[in-house]
Amino acid sequence: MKKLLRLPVNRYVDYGLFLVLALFPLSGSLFYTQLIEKYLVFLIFAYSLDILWGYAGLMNLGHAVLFGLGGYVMALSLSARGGIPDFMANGGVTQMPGWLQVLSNPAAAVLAGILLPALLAGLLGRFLFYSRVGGVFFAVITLALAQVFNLFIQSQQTYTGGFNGIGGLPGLSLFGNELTLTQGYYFVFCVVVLAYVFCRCLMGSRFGLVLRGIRENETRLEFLGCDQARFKTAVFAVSGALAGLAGVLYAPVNGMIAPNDVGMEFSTAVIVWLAIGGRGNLTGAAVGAMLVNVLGNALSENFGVFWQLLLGAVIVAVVFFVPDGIVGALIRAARGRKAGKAVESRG
Amino acid sequence: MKKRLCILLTCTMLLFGLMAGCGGRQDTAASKPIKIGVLYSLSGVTSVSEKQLYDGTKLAIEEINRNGGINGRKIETVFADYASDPARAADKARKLVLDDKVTAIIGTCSSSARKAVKPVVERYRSLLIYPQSYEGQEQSKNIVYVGCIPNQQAEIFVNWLLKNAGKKFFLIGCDFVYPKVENKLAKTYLQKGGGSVVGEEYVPYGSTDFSSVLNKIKTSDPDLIYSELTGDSNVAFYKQYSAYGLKAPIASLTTNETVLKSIGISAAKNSYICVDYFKNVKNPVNRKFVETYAQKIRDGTEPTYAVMGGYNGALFLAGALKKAKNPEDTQQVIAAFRGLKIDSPSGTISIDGGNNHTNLYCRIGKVDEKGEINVIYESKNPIAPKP
Repeated sequence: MKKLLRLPVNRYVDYGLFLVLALFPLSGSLFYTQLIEKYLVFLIFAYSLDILWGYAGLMNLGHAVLFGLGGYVMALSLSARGGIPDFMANGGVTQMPGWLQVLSNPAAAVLAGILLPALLAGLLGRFLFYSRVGGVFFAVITLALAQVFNLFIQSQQTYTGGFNGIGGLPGLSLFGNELTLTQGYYFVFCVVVLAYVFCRCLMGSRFGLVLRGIRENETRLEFLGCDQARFKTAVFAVSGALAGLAGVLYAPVNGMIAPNDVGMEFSTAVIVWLAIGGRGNLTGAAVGAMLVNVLGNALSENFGVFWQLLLGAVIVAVVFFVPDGIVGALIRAARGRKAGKAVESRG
Repeated sequence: MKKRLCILLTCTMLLFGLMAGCGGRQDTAASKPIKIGVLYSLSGVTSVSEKQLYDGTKLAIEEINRNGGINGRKIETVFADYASDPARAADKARKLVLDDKVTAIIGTCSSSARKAVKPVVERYRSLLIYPQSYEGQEQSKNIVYVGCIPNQQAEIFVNWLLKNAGKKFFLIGCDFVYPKVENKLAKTYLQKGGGSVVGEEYVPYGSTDFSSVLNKIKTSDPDLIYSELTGDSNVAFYKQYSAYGLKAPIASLTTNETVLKSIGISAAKNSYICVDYFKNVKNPVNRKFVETYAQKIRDGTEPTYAVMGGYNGALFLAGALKKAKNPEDTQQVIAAFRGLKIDSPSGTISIDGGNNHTNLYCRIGKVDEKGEINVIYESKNPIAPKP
């Protein structure tokens, strides 16, 4: 009990959120369960950015590229199940390309959907961090990457479905059996919890400590003999793998993927989630992702055309009044109390 | 310790608040009106087109309700805005079907949004009325397509242009499925009719810089430009094209009365447009419609083929609801669409029995010195859809 009480305040929020999410399907609403299932996928995506931006201080403005890469790989795999997909046939492809045959194996697709984004992130990191590109320049390059990737997807109509995206995908299945909505929900939920545990372990390790060191003072760390580029590249690759995993789940959960999901718009969205929730503690990522999406949905149902304006106003207000995010503010408040208590007991 | 508990409690409350936010709203007891979903983006990149679809649908439903509704029952609409995001369109469609329990949904604009909604209406055996023209190549038991598809425009338009405007075509479009399908068709008709293609260019969706394309057009010296540019790209192209001093007329499959206003008369005059409906179509139903439109939609716009798509969609739906024994049984409503005929401002049109697309008129307009579109050709009968 004492150990539980000594936990930092944000861990209560984590566990509380997981509890609510675990019980959610009991509400019985088909529509909302499906919606929250999608937001669960977003949690993984938010975690993946948090270890990169929150812990290592690397703001990736094109994070959705990594997500989208995983998503498109999975979507291609799913759409190739019944032979050559429509969009390829329309583009004049008459024979299934070899790489697609490989991808049509679900295990290969999952693997590729995780490894390709990791590889892309690793390569980018290798070139950027070793040539000392950092800070705002890193952000700008990733922003450009998002735009390039989006245009690439749109222009390769024959292989990506172009502007229309790839739709009509079958839902989640495990070892060849299609899962029901509730089963699918809990499957995604388990993956989220695993991703959370993975991130916590990783960030609690010495690796995580070095990352925080890089965020706080890169130069000092370098003087201590730490090869910061290697650590940054590594965390970028791990973050890419997680984002890819989120994309892999997103394709079947959402039933489709379109260029909107891979470009600047979605990259900005995930930045906003973290800005709202708070960075560098995983809790903020989860709270931000859930809050912004649930709020966006509730507002759009109740305020018609103005919902985006209202959501924008809420976001601006949060960033203005609590710049380190909701969870950041919560942690600060709790620390303040603790400090106060310490003074009290001393006096 | 107490304070800890306090924090814990606040968190739980926050979370329950979150949960309450996602809780479904209760339906009121069996209500008399028939519920239909209206799914358009009034925000985001496609909002300009979708506002027109929305206005058309709104006008039609108001009119139907004013005239006694569906056998005495009013139509009640549940509106959802999906902000031009296909994934959100699917979410909203799911909500309309599962939560609001609507009989049918009328809406979506881009093919990507329709393709996102398609699996939803198929899975829950619901119905989508799709009001926009699109590239064809799709059929669904659960979607009724009210807008025109390439075969209802291209053949007539290309042959007419060959006879009246010139033989050398330069094809241009935004880089997505619809323009590519249209241009592919245009090429086959050109080959048959003895025309030629001197250039073919695609620009990214939303692109507004045409300097390199204009250069290519100049060097290839076409008799006319055959265009499927949309949105901002379309407006920018007309303007830059005329500013560049090029004279060959532009023939478009996507321009309409509202777009013309943004382009301006000087850049748009003498260009050709081929769609299924213009404001200047001459028949009594349309005369009345244009009047109503001017009274009800007071934002300076004019009825376009998109407005007509939204309008026709709602009229067809009302017709099917009237025909079905139980208008709340979606399957009966779907069946009622087969061969359904309506008197619309765009003429007497009907739903094809086999493919759920619509038999539509093909019309060609030419923009005059005052910026008005004069209808210079009209097909004698509605053209059968071949998706």
